[in-house]
Amino acid sequence: EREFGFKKDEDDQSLRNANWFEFKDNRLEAIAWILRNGAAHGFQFRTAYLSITYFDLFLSKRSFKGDQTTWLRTLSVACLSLAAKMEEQRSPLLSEYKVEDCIIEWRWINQMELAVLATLEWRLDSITPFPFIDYFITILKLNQESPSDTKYNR
Amino acid sequence: MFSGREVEWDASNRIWSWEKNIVYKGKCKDTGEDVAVKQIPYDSSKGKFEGIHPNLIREVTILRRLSPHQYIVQFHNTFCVNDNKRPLWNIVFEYLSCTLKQLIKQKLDPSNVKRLIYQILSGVAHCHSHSVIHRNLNSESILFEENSRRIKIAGFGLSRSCSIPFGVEEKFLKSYSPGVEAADISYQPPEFLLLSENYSLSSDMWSVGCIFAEMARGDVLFEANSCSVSQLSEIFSVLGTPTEADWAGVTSYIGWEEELEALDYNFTSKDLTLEALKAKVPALDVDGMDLLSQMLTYNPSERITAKKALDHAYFKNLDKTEL
Repeated sequence: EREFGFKKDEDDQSLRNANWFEFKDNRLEAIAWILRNGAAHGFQFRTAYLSITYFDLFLSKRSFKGDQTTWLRTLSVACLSLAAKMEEQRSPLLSEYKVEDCIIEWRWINQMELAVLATLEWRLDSITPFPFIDYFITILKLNQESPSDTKYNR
Repeated sequence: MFSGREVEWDASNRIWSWEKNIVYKGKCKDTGEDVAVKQIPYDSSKGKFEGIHPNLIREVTILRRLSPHQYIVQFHNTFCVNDNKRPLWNIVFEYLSCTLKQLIKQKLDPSNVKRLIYQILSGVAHCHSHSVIHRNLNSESILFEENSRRIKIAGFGLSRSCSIPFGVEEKFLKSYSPGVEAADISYQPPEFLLLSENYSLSSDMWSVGCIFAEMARGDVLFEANSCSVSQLSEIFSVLGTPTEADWAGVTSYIGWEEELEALDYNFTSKDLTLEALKAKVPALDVDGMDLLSQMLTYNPSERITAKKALDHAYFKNLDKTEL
């Protein structure tokens, strides 16, 4: 039996040693993976954007042990999968995500999904700029079509 | 804050079930407080694995955003247990013994109808101000707390957050998730029944109108039919067949069938529509009828918003200190 409370980790601060610089290249790689795979599954751009937000928030709050590549790949898949579940009509099975150069078991992805949810305290509905862009396009009448047809929403 | 270990429930004490989701009455072990435990089983059909269920993620995210609020069911926690080596997710809520439907059966007097619909509108306005479309408002997804005499909106399993904080009333959002067809058909707005891809916050207001009428007349306004075409003709028989003038584009929706047009419900004026509605809900006064007809407006973008409805003349003599 496991539980996933919303209390912040006691040692949250000690984990927050912003692994930024260490991860700079890996982060870019992860973003490229998210964008590529989001497009391959036909997701809206905002879904990819959301998953990058989850990715960054998670990295800023947690540290990890073990193989960096596997760990970051697993995190990328989990973030994209969570964002798809929030935003898309149909979310792919975990096994449908294609990961290059390492083997990831779906159990790990599932564990990672839980870790991301717990770390973000289940607040997955961060506001993206995309609805605002559509909104302004509508009121400024830049586009006569329905706002959901603009390229930002695809 | 509750956790898995502190909550116990009895599988025989089932409050409610919908598809595979079941709600049990449980108890917090430490405080003895009653709780409702909603279980969302892991779907292992055909050995496919999809991780955490999207509906669980959406429901908890939405509840995290909306709760606590006086007219929203209090959400406590979510936890996962191992059920025959499969994860079984639980969402823990406060326990409320009475649904609005049960309350309506006991007959409500007009002042109570006014007080309750005001509370419902306040709760819906809270959801809408947080960009959450409930999508399954009905007399069973609204609960009643007898001590405080307050309603609490529950049943967010089909809800959808549309992540835009303003301007949404006038604007439609593309349909995101399947499952809306599982919502109670009696309360579905015509745009759902016509299979429009667009729905917005105003879709909830139609359902609120149905609930308002149900409270005033003591029975469901539109009886549930087996398919959307017969449900639409049920609605049209009361409110008249909508024309392109009422609602531009109505006849071009996928769900629009020739036979709907052939129905002889072409009321020539707004007064006639009001009269037909009045016959269904005789207990409502003039202001109440006006509010109801603004909720049951065909064109979603002309429907009254929850916020505007709270300022309607119908509520001017309501004592708002005793809500």
